[in-house]
Amino acid sequence: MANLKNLSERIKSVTSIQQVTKAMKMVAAAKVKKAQEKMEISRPYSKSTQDLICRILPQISVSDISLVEKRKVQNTGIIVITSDRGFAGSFNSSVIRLAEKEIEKLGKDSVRLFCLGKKASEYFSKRDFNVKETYFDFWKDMNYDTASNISTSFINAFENNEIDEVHVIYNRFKTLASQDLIIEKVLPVDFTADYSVTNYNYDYEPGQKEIVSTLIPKHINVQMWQQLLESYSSEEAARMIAMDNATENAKEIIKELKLEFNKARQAAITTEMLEIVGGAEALVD
Amino acid sequence: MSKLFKLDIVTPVKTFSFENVSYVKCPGVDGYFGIMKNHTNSIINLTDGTISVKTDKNEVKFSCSYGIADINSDSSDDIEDKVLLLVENAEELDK
Repeated sequence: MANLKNLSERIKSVTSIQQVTKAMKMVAAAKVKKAQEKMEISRPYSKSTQDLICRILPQISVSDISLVEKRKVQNTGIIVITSDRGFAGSFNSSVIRLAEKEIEKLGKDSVRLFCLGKKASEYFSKRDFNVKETYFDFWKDMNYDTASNISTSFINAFENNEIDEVHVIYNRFKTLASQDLIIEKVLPVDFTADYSVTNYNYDYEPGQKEIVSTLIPKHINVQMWQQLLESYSSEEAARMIAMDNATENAKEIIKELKLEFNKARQAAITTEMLEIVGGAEALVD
Repeated sequence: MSKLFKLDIVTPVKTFSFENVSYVKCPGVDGYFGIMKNHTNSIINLTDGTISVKTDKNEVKFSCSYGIADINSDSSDDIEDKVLLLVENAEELDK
């Protein structure tokens, strides 16, 4: 019967979808774990650089260091971190939505965008925004150099007075089931909250100012690296949840289809039996 | 008295820790310099080059791109010496 054949084909295809989503979920889970480990490893470095900066900065005049100096904001750089691939629920769309809101608040003409990930790059390039730079296809083999390349480019723009402030919009990993969507100011860097005063005497080579002004870009690099990792693990976590839901849904659908299939099969058997009985009765008569 | 000290080479992607180090040679901006126990507290810029670490057992070498050497700067007690090398990119070189 055509109906039966249709149903069995549908069951087959939904089952294979379920297998795919299940596999994607497993892959995402493994990737989250890896990214988490990388994040853990980067912490001592970022903490030590920040500690050093906070110990040296109070001793020197801040106005000499351009990356710390606050100036009047005319143009703002916004770094939007999204993924290259979809299948991650509302992961990308929520970042893009928040970015659009921010751009609207600041005025479209005074914003320069740095789009990370294919999703943001495509979205903003198509819509006539001021996109300064786009980076994509790097997530798969992302390493520390990727992060330093990106931060070097916006540090340069900041130092050339193209932009007076830089914000990053990204998903921060909270738990496997949830991410925090946040905006963070990365430039000019503000360390005042963490200043620590020590009474030790050190030798500095070269001077304090040189050390700090080379250290701050490095600190921004490692921050960028951590933000990329945060976003990456959130992406994979979101994908994991999305795929888990998809697998559950497929299970539901298969259950319904099977029920329908069995009903149809039973109906076919009943009609056949009726036909046979009818035929036999006709012979008896 | 022991002439050994602790050393951490910290990079964003890996940390190498050593317990019993007798001597470290680092590429400073003005040329290579050595660190032994009781070095004066200092913070020194590092440049590209090789870091050689001599422990009580063997010698290990690392490639080093830009970095910072932080020598005893945050040890509140003078008893223990601790050297921290913050390096953006360090790889252990073949022996």
